Formats: sequence, C-alpha cells, structure tokens
Amino acid sequence: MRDVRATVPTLAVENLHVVVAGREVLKGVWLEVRRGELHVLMGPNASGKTTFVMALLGHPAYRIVKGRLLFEGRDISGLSTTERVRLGIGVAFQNPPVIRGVKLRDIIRACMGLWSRADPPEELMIDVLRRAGLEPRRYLTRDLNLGFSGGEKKRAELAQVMAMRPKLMIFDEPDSGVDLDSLKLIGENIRALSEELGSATLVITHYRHIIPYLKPDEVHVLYGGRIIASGPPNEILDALEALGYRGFALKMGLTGGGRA
Amino acid sequence: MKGFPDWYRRRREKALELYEAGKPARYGPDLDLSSYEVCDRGPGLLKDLRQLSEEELRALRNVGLRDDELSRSGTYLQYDGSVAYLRLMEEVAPEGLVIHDLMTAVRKYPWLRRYWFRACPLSLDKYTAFVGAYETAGAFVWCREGVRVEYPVQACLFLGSKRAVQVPHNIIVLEPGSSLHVITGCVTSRACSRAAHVACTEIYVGEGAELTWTMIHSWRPDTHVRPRMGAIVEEGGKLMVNYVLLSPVRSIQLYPTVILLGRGARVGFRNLVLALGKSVVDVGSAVVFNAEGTRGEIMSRALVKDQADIRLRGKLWGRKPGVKGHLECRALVLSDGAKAHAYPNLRSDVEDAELTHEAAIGRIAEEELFYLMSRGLDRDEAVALVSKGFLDTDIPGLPPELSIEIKKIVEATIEHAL
Repeated sequence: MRDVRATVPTLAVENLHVVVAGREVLKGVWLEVRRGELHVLMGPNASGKTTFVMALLGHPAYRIVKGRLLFEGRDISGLSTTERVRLGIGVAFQNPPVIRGVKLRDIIRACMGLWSRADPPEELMIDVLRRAGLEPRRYLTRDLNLGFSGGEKKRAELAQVMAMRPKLMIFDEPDSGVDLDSLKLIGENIRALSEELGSATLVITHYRHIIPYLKPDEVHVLYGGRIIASGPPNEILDALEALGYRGFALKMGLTGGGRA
Repeated sequence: MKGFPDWYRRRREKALELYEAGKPARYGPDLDLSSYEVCDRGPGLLKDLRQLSEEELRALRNVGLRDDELSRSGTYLQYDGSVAYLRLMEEVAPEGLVIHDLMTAVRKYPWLRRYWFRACPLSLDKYTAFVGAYETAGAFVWCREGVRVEYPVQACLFLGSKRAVQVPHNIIVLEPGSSLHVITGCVTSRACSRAAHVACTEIYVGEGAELTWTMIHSWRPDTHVRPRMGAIVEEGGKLMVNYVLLSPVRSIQLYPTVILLGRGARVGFRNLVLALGKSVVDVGSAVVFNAEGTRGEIMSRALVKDQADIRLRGKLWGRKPGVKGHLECRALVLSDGAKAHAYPNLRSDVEDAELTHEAAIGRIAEEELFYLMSRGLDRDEAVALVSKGFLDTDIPGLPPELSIEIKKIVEATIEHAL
C-alpha cells in the first residue's frame, strides 16, 4: 500500500476551463493526485489531454478562464512556466522539439540544476541516460532530438524527467510511436521512478498497452474536455475495451457520469 | 624609407597613386580615410607583456592573448602603429619558424617582393592601396619547408588612439609540408575613440602545408574596421580561416578571398558574428576553385540584436572540373529592430563543379523557449542557451586547448551580451 495519508494532494485540479485559440477545450476538469500515487489519464485524440499538460505548465497560448490549479495546496495559475517547474513539476512531452546546437548534455544539466546548486557530476548524467536506455557517450553530445527516432525521443524525455527529480511527474503519451521494447522500458521506468522518488505521477495515454507496466492506482477517462470516469484500472479498462471511448461516453452520459 | 629596398619604395609610391584614385570597396559604407591621422608609432618595445596595464591585458586576453605565453610558439603584439612585443619561444618553437615585424622582414628578405600584395592585390580597393601606401608595421610569420609548429603563434593588435587609423600589413608564408596555427586578436582600449583599423593580411600556403588562421575582433562601438585578406593555397594545402566578432562596432566590412591554386587544395571558413548595438556588419568569404579536385566550405553564423544590421555574404566560384564547395549562412535575429541579410553567390565556369548553398534567417521559435523553460531555465537563460548552440562554438581543426579557450571567450561574451 502506498502512503495516502498526506492530506494535501500534490496536484489538485478544480473545475479547470481552458481556452485555446478562442475555443474552449477543457470544460471543467476535476482531478487529484497525491504523493506516491500513479494515475493514468486516458482519452481519445482531441479530448484535451495535451491541452491539460500545456495549461498545467502555463503555456501562454493555453488560457485558464475558470477553475483552479493547485500544487501542494498553492494556486499556481499566476506563475510563469519556469516558476512552476522550479516548484517541482516535471513533464515529458509527447512531441518535444528539435533544438539544433543544444546538446542533450546541456538539457540534462539544466534539469539537474533544479535540485543541485553545483554543476552536476558527469556520472549522474551518464546514469540517467543509461537508465533511460540511451548509450550515454553517444547521446550526451547529440543535438536535442535531431535525427532521433520516436523511441529515442521518448527515452530522452524520460531521462530528463529522471534528472529533474520532480514532485509531480507528468508523461504525455510516452507510448506513442514507440516499439514494444521501448514501451516496456519506458513503462517500467516510470513505475520504478515513481516509487523511488515517491512523486505524484500522471501518465497520459491513448492506448492501454503501457498500463500493465505502470500498475496505476487509478485511471481517469477524459472525453470532450471533461473527466467522465475515474476508478480502479480493471473496471475502467474492461468497460473501455467493450464499448470504445464513444460508447463508454454515451453510457456515462446516460448514467449521468461519475464513477464507473 | 631608409634601409628599404628600391622595389619596396616603388610599390609604396604605386600604392599611393592607387589610393588617391579612391576606388571604394564594393561593399560596406565608404570611409573618408583622410580624416584620420595614421598611427605611425606606439609606446615602444616592451621587455615583458606584464608591463601593459591590467586593463590592457584584460582586453587582450579577451581576444585570445595569453600573457603568460604558455602553450604559444611566439608572440607578436602591435600597439597602435608599432611593434610593442615580439618573441619566439625558443623552448617550444621548432627551428624554421620565423617571426618578425614586417618592416624588418622587408629589409631582410628580398624574396618577399614575390609575395607583396599578390594574394590581396593593391588594386582591389582604396583600403588595400591605403595599407600599401601607409603601412607602419605588421606580423610576418614564416614557416620553412616541412616545419610543423605545434603551439600556436599569437599575433595581437591593440588600438588605443583617438581619431587615428591603425594600418597593419601581415604576411604569413608556409613553405611546403609545414603546418602552423595562428591566433590573431584585435582589440581597442577604453581610451580609444572614433578610430579606424585598416589592415591587409596575405596568406600563402605551400604544397601540402596546413594553416589555421583564427581572428578574434573586439572593437569600440565607434570604430570603423576594414580588414582586407587574401590567401593562395597550393597543391594539397589546407587552410582553415576562423573569424569571430564579439563586440559592437560602428562599421565593419571584410571579404577574405581564398584562391585554391593547386590540385586537391582545401579551405574552410567559419565566421561567428555577434552583431550588437548599432553595428553595421558586412562579412563575406569567397573561394575561387582554380584547380581540379579542390574543396571549399564556408559556414557563417550570426546573432543579430538591438539595432544591428548585418550582411552575410559568401561566394563559391568553380573554375575547374571536379571541384566541390558548400556555403552555409545562418542568422538568428533576437530583436525587432535588428536586420539581417544573406547573399549566397555561386558561380561555375565548368560542367563538373558541385557547388551548393543553404541560407536561413530566423528567430528563436517560441516552442523551443517554452521547452527549455519547462526544464527550469528562465527565458533569458533559454535564449542564451539556444544562441550559444546556434553559434556552434566548436571550431574544428584547432588544437583542443585553443578550441576551448575560444569557446570560453565566445560563450562568456554571449552570456554578457544577452
């Protein structure tokens, strides 16, 4: 059993409404993730998964028009991206950009700078890359994501979140476009990291394949900008399997939403 | 002109005529050189570099001078119009490496006549002719056949006068099979104001010889700078030219031209330019492929900020078959008031020349900054990191230690400037 005694959730999202390019994408999201818990947020394309991540990080194009974002009980919606990250939010992106000339080493160093005052020792950088399944000597000097395969990008994102040691870890589709080996490596690493750091962890995904490696405490279904169901993985996954996202949503609509 | 050979006197007269004809440079704002006084003297010879003030030394270190002279084969320092320090490090410099003030060399070596304004013709423009007519000093570095010099030679020019023009003329001769690294730093003192630097550098790389030539410039915002440079590379020779501009400047225009004269000769240019303040910067590089199987590459990167205006030029001219060249100009514009232009120019007179170019001018993508901020950097740190990466300060071909020194100088300047 994980520690669920902590009273203040690491992340509490209260009735979050987010507008992107004049369109309301999130229409009242409620969510809580506590220290030591691993949650999965599932949803079809265009359900608002990435919008949720961007709004959480304070991307200027994602405007919170209603609701609250609480990190360890503190409303962070007025803070800059950098300030939020420095509080302890680490995100692995679905589609990280290529940045020419900026080496993976530079980024890992920045990530480690979040908790280490001195320049991080080389061994630590090597260690996170190796754990993420990237051969350190080859990758530390590579330009960020330049010529990386889908799996290499995801591994590089994982390595960065490891290097950040955040209190809240968010992985946005860590499983999209990767082969089975990467899927297992990434899934198991997220689980292990979550236990090791005792962080609150949220994994966003479209598909169920990564879920057995993650062993989540709870699964949420995001549909049409709202969380339409939350519950233990098996119940939710079985229902999704049987009905698909649309069928599931219709059923929830019929029953008025809430817990599955 | 006492003690100078006749040919030299005649060339000076010829140069004066050409200067008076007043042919402007093809690019860059035209300067009225007659409004400056020629710097024809300096503080005289120093026994030790440490006789310079701490402030002067700091400025010189920032353009690559090592005042401890460690890991250098020799030092040439020109202060205003005359040589201030000249030393060959006997312990590390091999026999066959010769360093002089050019004015001494002219009197000593009659064969210099064959090199005089050959790589950089006097008729090029009035600035070149001005150097030919008014030169007062300059570095002469000569590497005899087969002599491989491990540690770089440093040649620094210091400009401290007001309303004056510094007129150095440098000649570098590498005989066949020799190799050498030269780092030249040009810098102005704090006292210097409204000055100009008009220089000519001629480089001769013999058969199978290898030279890396690295220039680091740091001027005052009111300095006008017109360095001329030409190089000739013989069969199998290799030349690497690195240019770094670190400071704001009133105006600078240079367009070094390298002629690949022998089969298989190669040249690489690497220009790293910080165009800051109100600088007007016009930096080009040209390669003439005059023999079969020659190779050339030009890479220019510029960061443009404030109200700076930069023109990046590059020219590859294929004149013999089987040649290959690539030109890359990239500018990153960091402020709304800044301007950048890229002018790539390819020309081939033969069927079988492979010449390519890429040019790009852009801004830092918001997406990249957001991403870096999500790794805990603030906006300024993110801009500095992308800028450093963009300038790509890993300069190939240099001894590792020198490469690290230059990288540190450039990165410190970027951090300071941004």
